[in-house]
Amino acid sequence: MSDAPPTMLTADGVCYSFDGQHDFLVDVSLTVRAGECWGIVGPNGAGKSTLLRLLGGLARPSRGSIQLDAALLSALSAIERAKRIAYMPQRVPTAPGLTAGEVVLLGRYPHRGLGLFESGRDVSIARDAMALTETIQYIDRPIGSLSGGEAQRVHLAAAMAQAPQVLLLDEPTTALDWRHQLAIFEILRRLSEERRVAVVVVTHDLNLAGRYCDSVLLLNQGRAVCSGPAGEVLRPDVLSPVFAVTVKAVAIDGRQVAMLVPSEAGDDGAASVKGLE
Amino acid sequence: MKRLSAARFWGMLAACFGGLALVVVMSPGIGTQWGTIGWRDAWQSLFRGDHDSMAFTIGFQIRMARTVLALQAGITLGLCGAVFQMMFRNALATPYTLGVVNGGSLGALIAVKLGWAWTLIGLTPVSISSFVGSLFVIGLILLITRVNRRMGTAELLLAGVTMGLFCSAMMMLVTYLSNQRETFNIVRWMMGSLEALGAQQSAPSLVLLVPSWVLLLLQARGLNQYMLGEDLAMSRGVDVRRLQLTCLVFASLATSAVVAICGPIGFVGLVVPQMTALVLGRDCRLLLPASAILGGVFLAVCDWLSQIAMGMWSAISSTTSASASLPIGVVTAIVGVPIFLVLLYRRGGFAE
Repeated sequence: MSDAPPTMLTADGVCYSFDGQHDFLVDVSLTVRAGECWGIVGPNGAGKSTLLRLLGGLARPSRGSIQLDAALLSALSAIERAKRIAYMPQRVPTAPGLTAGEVVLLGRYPHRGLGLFESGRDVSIARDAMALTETIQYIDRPIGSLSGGEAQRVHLAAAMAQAPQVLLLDEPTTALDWRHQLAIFEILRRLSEERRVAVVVVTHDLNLAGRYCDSVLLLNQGRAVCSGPAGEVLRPDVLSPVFAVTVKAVAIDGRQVAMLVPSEAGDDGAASVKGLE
Repeated sequence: MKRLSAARFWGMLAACFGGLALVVVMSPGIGTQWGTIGWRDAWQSLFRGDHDSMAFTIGFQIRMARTVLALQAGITLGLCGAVFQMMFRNALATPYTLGVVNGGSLGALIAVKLGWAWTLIGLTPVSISSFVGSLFVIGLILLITRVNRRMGTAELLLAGVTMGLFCSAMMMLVTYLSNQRETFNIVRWMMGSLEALGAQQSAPSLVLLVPSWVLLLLQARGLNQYMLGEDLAMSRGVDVRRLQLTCLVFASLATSAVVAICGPIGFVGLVVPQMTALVLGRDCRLLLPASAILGGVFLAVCDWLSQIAMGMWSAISSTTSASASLPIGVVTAIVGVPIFLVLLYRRGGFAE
């Protein structure tokens, strides 16, 4: 297919073992195209964060390969890699004494020249990223004085200031309220649609994944259970055995968006939710 | 947008260098023989080329040499303190946190106890033995934390503190087994001193110190990334392992060299980086060089205070002491602790 967007990041039969005995990932493959948003979901300990770290080059697969464009990820220098892949960890230290603006400017690190200081271009890129994440008003506030949702958007702006082709995020909406969860995913959608960034996001929120991700990879115990278009993966019959709960899909307001509702295995609790419709 | 612009960087650094220059200019006028040789006499002897005069000897060969030693020790402690506080993301980290000072002290104590008397390239056996003791501690910590690659900075800290405690226990043992004269020398050494060693000791240590300073200053941008966590720093292209190793090895080496010559001088490595960060912010590009210079200035000024105070004490008690100054470690604590406590009170804590 010539009109398919170019492949950005490819994982091919990736395995990962920390100690040579326990396998954290077994034979996982994934192809992420430019402008595509992938969600990685699965129960705790499924290997989601491990896969994300491998995709970001923070660890190397013990078997299999990861390619960025046409190059082998492990063959790129750390700086070359950082110019193209941004990674947002689950938790970022509060870094006392730095302002939000300074934190975002730190994202320009891989693009630094020989000079000691950020250029005017770096500053305008950082401001641009802060405007997009609606954090520009915090630019001179200490990062430690911001709320969790505000700080998270500042770190997202820092990742964007890195001007990556691939953006990897590890549970970016955990600990955020609904409004801020939606805000983060709206930004990710804009990034993938408008700037053609390939986004890979690890999340526990299956409903957000279903709403915002084009494709979803479901992991369980280090193995890929199912991957493909979000609507094909996020189905009760696929999810129920993996999460060991009964999952029901509930249509809301007659829209095609399904709301996934968990309940104890064997319990028919979702019936009462249905009753509210 | 608040950020470190070139103007701000050079402006602040120029102010720090101004303080440094002031210390150097004033140095020949302050210190031993206070009142007999003035500032003017000393500088005139230099410009007249009168290098055999009393004024030159006291102004430069004694007072200035001592200030140079104070500056190199202060620069090292200020810089290494800032590096360690950033590397461990801990406001309480000092250059001594990893037990370097305990290892160095143990080495020095053993030399005092054994009563060795020889010199090697101008260094005393106490200095050399102290340096070896520090190297032993760093080497051991590196060995156990680097062979097992799963060990992070938390384990590193724990290993360092434990090694420090072990060395302290051994110091107690050596002191316990010492006679009165040895014990007196040991206690004196533990107080820290910039006494009368001068250029003889400065020169060999500078060979180690200057390259260490340069290498540590070059880590500033990497350390800025490191403030936000190892993973994020790595993803931005920082070689985190190399950064950790460089900071650890060269900060420890430089600190060991200072401890070997001056003994354990406290509070410079803790207080100076804190004060600098409060005033100038935590961007390491400015914080590291500024902490270094201000550390030097702080220690040189404390050294003057120690000499002036001792002069006053001698005058009041009308006794002649063998020493011309109070122990420098005591003075830095007297000056440093109140400043630190006031800052702590006003900030309500530095920790994350």
